[in-house]
Amino acid sequence: MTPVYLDNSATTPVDPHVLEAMLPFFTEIFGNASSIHTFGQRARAAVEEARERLAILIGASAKEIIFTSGGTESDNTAVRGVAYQLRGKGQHIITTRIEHPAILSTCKALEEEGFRVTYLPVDSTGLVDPRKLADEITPQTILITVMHANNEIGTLQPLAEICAVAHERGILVHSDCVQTLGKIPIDMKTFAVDLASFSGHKLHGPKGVGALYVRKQVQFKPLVVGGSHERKRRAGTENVPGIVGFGKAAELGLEHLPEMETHVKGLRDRLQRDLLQIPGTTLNGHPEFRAPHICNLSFDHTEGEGLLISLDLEGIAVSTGAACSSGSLEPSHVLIALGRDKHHVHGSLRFSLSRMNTEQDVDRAVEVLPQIVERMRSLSPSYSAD
Amino acid sequence: MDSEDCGKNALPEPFVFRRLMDSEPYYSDKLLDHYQNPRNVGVLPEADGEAQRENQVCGDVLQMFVKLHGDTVKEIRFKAEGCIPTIALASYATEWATGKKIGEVRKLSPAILSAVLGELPQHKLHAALLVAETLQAALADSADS
Ligand SMILES: Cc1ncc(COP(=O)(O)O)c(C=O)c1O
Repeated sequence: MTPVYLDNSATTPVDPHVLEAMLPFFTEIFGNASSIHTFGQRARAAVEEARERLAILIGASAKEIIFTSGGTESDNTAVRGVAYQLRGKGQHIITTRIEHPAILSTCKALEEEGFRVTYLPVDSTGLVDPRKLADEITPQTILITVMHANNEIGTLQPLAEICAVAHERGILVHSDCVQTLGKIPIDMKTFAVDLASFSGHKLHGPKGVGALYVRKQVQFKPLVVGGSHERKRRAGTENVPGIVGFGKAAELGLEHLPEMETHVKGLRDRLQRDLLQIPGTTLNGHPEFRAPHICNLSFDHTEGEGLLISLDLEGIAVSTGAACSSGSLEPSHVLIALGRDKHHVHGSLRFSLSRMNTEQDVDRAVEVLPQIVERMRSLSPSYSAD
Repeated sequence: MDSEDCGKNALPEPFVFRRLMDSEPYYSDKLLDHYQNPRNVGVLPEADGEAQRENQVCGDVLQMFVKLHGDTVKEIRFKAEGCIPTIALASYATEWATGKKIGEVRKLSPAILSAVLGELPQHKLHAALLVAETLQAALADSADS
């Protein structure tokens, strides 16, 4: 049984070329990128090449990129960094109810420090309304942070409009772009955000490395202080193999970007269309404004964790927003924010693809899942009534 | 793990995948067996007692029906819309209780259920509670009628 991996929003398999690019930096090229001898300078050159690769992928200049330990650190740095930098100007931050916990927990922590945070609602497809956002802006507002694509449902936010509203009033915008790097073209010359978070392991790079884009001239207080690495914006000896891997992943990401709208979206759309044939199945997220690799479905009268484990026993990996599925007792805050009732969230599954998935992967899922859903529904006290 | 196992494949080999799954099971095999092949699913139209309970936190719903013969549990059936341990423990409890004296079945507590198919993770203890409560409520209902 060949395993079928449909959980690429959680993490992606490392591309073999990425691994190959990384390996020498564990062995012969082991130098500290801050050292001025040849050992160090070889590592430095590799770090700067990786920075250039990522800059090309997002249409930025290399100086605008800071390497971090991942998406979580980038989110923490952006929100705290801007909040502390501008606290003399104002103490109000606007975000959304469907952000990743890396943003939501940072905002909660800032509330304890006296900042005020507005959590914008979203509509039933997960979209933020830029007019509602405009209504919440006060002279105290210093930062707006809205994610690009949501990691659970894939809905893409109208960032251009959000930036227009913010910039008219001189407010900075940060966006968590962890789920869109290498999935959707991002060009910082036209994409107006001031700060953006990225993570290596979501585009076939290694875990534990990410980046923060900070537009030229935007100031923030560094989160991690120490030596003068990353132009004094993130201290700590660079994770050279990780950064090299991320750089290679970015290079490959650019090369494979056209496949996202064709191969990956094609597979996702077929999976979605075929699974929606199962009666009592609905789509969570925006039908159109959505990252090409994500599809979140609810199967009435089922329970997500049970579906997940039954699929896993068949070698198919997905994830769920059902309550108490991953150590948390709470159902997905994202599906709740869409206004879905408890039972709807209960039977939700997220399928997320990558360029490494095949037609056969989709065939397997479409072949296996209807029976699993049917079997689970046969246990339900209320299903036969429908 | 042999170094060949890792190879340069993008995805782990199937047998590596299975072995990873087997090494640290999230749920015990016994529990998964009850979940995959639940015993005593259904309704008893002629039940002496029945009960339905819902877990307010995660939305699990459990229904149980008991049929008695004197002071003995003759038959039990259940229906559930719930997470894995809810279904597995309902299946276990119905199988265990069949043929037992009512007095003995009354002793089946959440604490016993939480360990009987392997220790449940903390955030799943509510499943043991839901199954014990529904079973006891169905028995109480039969005493009323
Ligand atoms: C939208 C989003 N933001 C942030 C993160 C965190 O990234 P990392 O795992 O690199 O810390 C993730 C991934 O889990 C994500 O999906």
